[in-house]
Amino acid sequence: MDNYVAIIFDDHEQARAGLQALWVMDKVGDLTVHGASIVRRSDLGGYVDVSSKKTHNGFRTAAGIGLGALLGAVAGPIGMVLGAAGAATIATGAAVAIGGVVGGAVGGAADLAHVAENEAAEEAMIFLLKRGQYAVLTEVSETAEDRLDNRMKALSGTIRRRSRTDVLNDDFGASYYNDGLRYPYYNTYLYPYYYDPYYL
Amino acid sequence: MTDRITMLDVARRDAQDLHQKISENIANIERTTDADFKIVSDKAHALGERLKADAMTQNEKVKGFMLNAAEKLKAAPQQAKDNLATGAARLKQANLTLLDGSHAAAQSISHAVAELRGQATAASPAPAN
Repeated sequence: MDNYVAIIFDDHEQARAGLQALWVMDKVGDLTVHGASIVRRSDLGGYVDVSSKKTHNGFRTAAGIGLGALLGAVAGPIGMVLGAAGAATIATGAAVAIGGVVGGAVGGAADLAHVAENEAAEEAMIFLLKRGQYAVLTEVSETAEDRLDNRMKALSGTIRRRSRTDVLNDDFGASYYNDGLRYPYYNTYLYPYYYDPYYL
Repeated sequence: MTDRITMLDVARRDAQDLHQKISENIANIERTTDADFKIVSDKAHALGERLKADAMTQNEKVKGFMLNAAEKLKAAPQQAKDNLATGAARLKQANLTLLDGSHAAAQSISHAVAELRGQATAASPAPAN
């Protein structure tokens, strides 16, 4: 099954170890990683940074909007609205600030008020990440989900997972995911191999 | 089945290496030349041709992912060359176009790998209790 997964860690070294372990699992065939990146939420201000390579970040454009949307999408439909809105405060590892709120998020925020009491919505509001936390964001194919769960639990990671089908259909409309060959824009920001995560 | 997985693993690694090389070119764009661009561009095209040929030995679903990757790899150099002709920041733009193609191809190949791995798992006998 193809899934988008957010693996949440309390510090950078744990997150780096999580990213390494993920690609080792790919190498031995426990699962297949299609791409992965690490994001962190700052202690001050709650900004989210996207780690990159020390050389060129490997992305065509600033990664903030894409990964903000994906973080929200893993949280579910409510998170999608917040994830897009949160992109306004997200910067890439290259410290490129994203300006402006995504249009769709403005209207969506009003709907959000109706479900604000809901625990799930409350959780989504923080994009799965508390201040100071890190997340390995990845798209994987896995036949046994407990393998990744057990490995990341051993590294003190907490896993949130949604199927690729659900995320893409929620994000781009019903039946978007029909032939499996479509790749949403945020996949561009998931590295297709291991990299040493670096923050400016 | 093992041979087909190995072949795809090699292609996937080549696509990952290609992506890395292009991103290095972009990082060092002031030292990157047209000749450097041609090297990665030719590699992308060659990998696309190889994937297209190898895809014919695979089942329909895996073939779909491989042909998709081949299409990205073969189209990107041409699109990149079109960018080369436009002038300003031409080399960086051309490399970025190539980067997009290699990224999409790497992901499509990894989906083909996942599909084959899944088929191999399904075909293997269940462990005895």
